Amino acid sequence: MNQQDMIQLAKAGDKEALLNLLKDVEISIYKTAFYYMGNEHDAKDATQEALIKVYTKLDTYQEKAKFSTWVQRITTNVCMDKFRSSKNELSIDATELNIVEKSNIEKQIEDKIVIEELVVLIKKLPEKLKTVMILRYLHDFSYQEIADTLDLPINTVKSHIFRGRDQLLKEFQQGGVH
Amino acid sequence: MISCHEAKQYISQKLDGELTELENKLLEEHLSLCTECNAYEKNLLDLHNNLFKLKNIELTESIVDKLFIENNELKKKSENKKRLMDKFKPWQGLVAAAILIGIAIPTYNYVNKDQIYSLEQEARNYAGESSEYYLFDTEVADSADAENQQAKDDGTKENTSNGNEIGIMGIEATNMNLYNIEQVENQLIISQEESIIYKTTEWEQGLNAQWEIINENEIIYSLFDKDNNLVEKYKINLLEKKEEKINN
Repeated sequence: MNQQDMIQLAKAGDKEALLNLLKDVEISIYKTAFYYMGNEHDAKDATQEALIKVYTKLDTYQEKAKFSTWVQRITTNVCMDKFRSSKNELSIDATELNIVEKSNIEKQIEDKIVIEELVVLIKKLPEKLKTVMILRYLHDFSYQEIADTLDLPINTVKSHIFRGRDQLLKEFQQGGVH
Repeated sequence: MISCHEAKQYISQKLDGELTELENKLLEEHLSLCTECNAYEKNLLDLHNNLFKLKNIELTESIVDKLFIENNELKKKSENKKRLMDKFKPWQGLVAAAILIGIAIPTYNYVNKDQIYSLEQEARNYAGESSEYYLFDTEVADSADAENQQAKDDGTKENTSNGNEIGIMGIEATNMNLYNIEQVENQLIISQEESIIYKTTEWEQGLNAQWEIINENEIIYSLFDKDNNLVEKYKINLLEKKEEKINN
């Protein structure tokens, strides 16, 4: 069953379709939340809240928009709200990163170190830049999809992505981990 | 020939396949002569490839399973909240909402007696903290927190036993398109429903603006030079039809 069919059934009250739909999107929500919040605990909280909102707002979803952009709009809004109110410090270390297993242990460790550094730097980005970077790199959103999710002009998205990358590059190089 | 700043922007767009043929040609022309930008391109590509590794994280346990199937705590919490919410009659919520912000939506209570799980939507008061406006300025975010605290003090928010906040009435900003804002040469033109409602003061040549709608009455815009350095920042008050410079 494709996602659009699942959405229709879920909206009509089919609980199994609804659960499957939520399971379909939960990892994409979690990824956004993880890099936004910077730690697993807050990410799971944000994911839970976003899932509840997807569940309760499903009736408002209109098929003219992509479901993924609709879900990510909800997720980024939840994360922004929680991030602003939490004032949490970054509490991540390499062990919290459950990276998909790679055959090369050395490469896996090296990746974890690089990713750990990037997680810190991404979390420090200004809110707008952080959001577009997450949508671009975690979800492979095109500029148009990012623009649709965040309701921004395309040129603004281009500018944000450029500034996000530029800032990360400067900080990454200063950090000496490259 | 394009400048290094433009070349760097094109390098960024090229990574996403978002360069036109002309832009690509201009970039190649620049890169054939500029060693600094060549190095920048290499470093940005490395960063770009590393950033894609971020997506390879796993969720160790399904939150959907815990929330909707396995964890009956949610059902108990939902029932507790339902009893708590039932204390407030809809008309009291409406009057309070009308006094505070004039907008209220009913909370939703979803219970399906045929299923083993139930869920209740938490109504949240978004006044002053709506992320639909992408608050990014700490000054503005702090004022949003202050408004939120006021809502708590007024009794329009309360804590549940697990410490989560629920609002008695919920306000949702469902429409982000409050205004149409356009940079036209050296000023911003703000319009609503095809009528121009405000034009900013013209700024010096060579600067570009970025803007944020803070709420229905306030917009903040920042001016950046060609190197993307922040030059100035202004806050527009649409009620008073004026703007003032604010600290960066």
